[in-house]
Amino acid sequence: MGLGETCFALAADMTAAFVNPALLARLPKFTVTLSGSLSSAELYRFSILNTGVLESAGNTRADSTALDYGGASVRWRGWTAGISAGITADHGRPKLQYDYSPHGTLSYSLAGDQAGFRRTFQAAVAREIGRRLAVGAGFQLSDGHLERRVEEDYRAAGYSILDEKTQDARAFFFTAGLVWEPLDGLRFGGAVRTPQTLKSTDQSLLRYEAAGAGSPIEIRAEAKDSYDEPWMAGAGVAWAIGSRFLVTADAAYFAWSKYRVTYFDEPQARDFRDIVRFGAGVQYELAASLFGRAALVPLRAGFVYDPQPMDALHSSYRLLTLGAGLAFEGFRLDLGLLVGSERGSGRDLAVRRLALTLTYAPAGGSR
Amino acid sequence: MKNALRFLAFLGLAVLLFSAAVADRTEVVSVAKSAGRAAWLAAQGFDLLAEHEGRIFLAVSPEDLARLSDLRLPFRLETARLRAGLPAEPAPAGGINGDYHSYRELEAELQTLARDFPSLTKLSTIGQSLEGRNLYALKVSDNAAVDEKEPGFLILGCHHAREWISVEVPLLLARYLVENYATDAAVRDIVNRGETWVVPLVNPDGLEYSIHVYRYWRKNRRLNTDGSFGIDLNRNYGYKWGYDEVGSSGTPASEVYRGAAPFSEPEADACRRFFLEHDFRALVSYHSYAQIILYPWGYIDAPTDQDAALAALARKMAELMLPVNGRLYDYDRAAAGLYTTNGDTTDWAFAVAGIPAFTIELPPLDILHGGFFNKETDILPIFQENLPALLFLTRTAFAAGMPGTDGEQEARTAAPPRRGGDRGKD
Repeated sequence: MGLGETCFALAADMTAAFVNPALLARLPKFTVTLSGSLSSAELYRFSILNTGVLESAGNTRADSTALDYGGASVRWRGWTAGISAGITADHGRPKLQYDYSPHGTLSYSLAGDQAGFRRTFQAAVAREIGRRLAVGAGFQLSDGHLERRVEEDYRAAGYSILDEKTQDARAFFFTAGLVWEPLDGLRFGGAVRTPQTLKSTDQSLLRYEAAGAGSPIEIRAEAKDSYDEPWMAGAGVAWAIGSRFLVTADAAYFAWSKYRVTYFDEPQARDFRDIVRFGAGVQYELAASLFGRAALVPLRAGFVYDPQPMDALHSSYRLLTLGAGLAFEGFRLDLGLLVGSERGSGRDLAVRRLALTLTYAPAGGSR
Repeated sequence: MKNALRFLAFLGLAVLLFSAAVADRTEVVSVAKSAGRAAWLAAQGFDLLAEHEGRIFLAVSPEDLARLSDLRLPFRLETARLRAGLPAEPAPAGGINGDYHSYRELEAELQTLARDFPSLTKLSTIGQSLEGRNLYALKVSDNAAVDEKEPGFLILGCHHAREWISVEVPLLLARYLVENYATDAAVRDIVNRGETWVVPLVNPDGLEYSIHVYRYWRKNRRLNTDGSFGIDLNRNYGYKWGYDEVGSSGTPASEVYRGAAPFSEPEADACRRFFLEHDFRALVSYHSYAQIILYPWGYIDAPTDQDAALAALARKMAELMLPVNGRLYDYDRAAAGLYTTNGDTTDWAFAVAGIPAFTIELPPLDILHGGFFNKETDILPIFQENLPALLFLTRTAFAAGMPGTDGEQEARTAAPPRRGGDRGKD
């Protein structure tokens, strides 16, 4: 993460194989990686907030802490295989609560809550073809759950309304990539990800209830829906300058204009445009000594330009990344920090993320 | 008045009996009234419903009918007269909002109607909403593709997003007219004589928001300058727009925000243009809830110069509605019957064209019986009770010279009771 989230040509650990499976071939012979993160993202509009019912004075903040990635890889006779699992999206939103209590007595309350996640499991394999080329392919299975609940209690009037929707979704897709090293220290990488159709089973319940009106009025619905997520292709370069410096850069193209959503049997309008995301980073590696043994301390900095796909409102995130690590006796500890904000919506939505990754690679350093 | 009330209530009961006991083949018949006959019939075990206009109404089984024949007592079968013709059972719309129609479902159904009945219907787009959804108008008339310069009747639905039932009644009317054209002479007469235009969904953006995000959303989806959302489309019409701060509001966050200018909203402006392009003789704008028929004025508590005629029409409609399901619709001038509203549809239509213009607030009666929620199983009954009123108003509208026509004479024949008490705000 500290290197501007570049991931097409350089693998610090297994996470890069999510994007370019060929990078498995450039990892040490055996690796185990575990990663956790603290995230904080500002939001302005979601669900009923700032869309018509509840208004906030400013942005709201969604914080999360998660052990969000784990994986392992092993190389044998020129083949490298890896499996991994990660939480790739957090659908959780800050809880909303509005109470109206004139004269100290609760008269009306409105509560909104949304929770959910998406996780992805990957199996990938990579193969070296000669000394300078490697190719890889991955299969990824993704599933997710989302539930949203809006509840109003007109206590003084004597009735309440519940609006509850849940979605359980699943998708699979493939990735393929290659790594080419025309010169020692210079590496190019490229990868594509197939389109994926996230198929979901949705349920909806609307319920009106009044103590004096007999049985509740309920409207229930079920549907099987889909989210057609577009293909992605990207390329990157990593250039080692001497033994200490490393420079990386990535560009990824997302065909968001092909994004299609069917929600409860109906196509939903999504006015999206294609986007290109850029990232770049630089690393300087310090040699150090720990307990009398050699250690490496990489220091990293990077930048990400991440345009958002909404066509009506062109906005983008500009993110600064910083990182530091410690490689010692087969262990590698990496700390990455990402900070930045969005421009274009007028809301300057800030985002911060701190990730800690521990990798164990006893069989030697990366290639 | 009391007799009329009793009669209508009993007829309502009769129809309920009929509806509930089709399997039992219960019928409603009437026999001529004479001295002591009602008591004698009761003593014979007949089920008396009402006495009205010189006749005694009875609920009878097939065995009762045979007994009446044996008694050589002339009777008249009343069931068919009392029972409104039923449309085909509406197909559940499905989707996230159950049997109610979303924008897409409505669009598909209107297109299906237009395809299945090409000579009787013409589907038009009268404009687009803020978010680009089509505002559909379905014309039902013979030779629908031809502009025959016939009188028109306009039925609007869903100015307010959360009033889902107000989409269904206009849509079901359109279905009823085309599906019964071939077999029902009265329907055929209406369809042949004029143009019935149905605009079931004036506020599609709001409806979609109500379905997907917040059930109680009312306004359209305009992003106001203060960051709030929505303009009340039924306060955005041009007549007496912004007359005061009671019947509408100049505060954007208000539920009854009237917008920055009359007809500032594309949805209301599309209705304006559409209305002015046609020769409409009557208008009904459906809303919910309160179970009341409202007529101008809404902006002040004062009668129009057509107050008597409008009241007579409303009274007749209420009378026709009552027997179907036994639901009593009140009727009144809008400002007196519900609350003051300025910039609403019916005040404007009446002001610019002088035509009968009604806001019909559909059931339930109050917030504690559902408010903006109606059970899915109540969609058809609510339509059925509105059907005879709509057919009556259509016939009246298509008669020459409104008001003060045959239709008005018909409207003066009976008066249903009025309801008292407070009502919730729609």
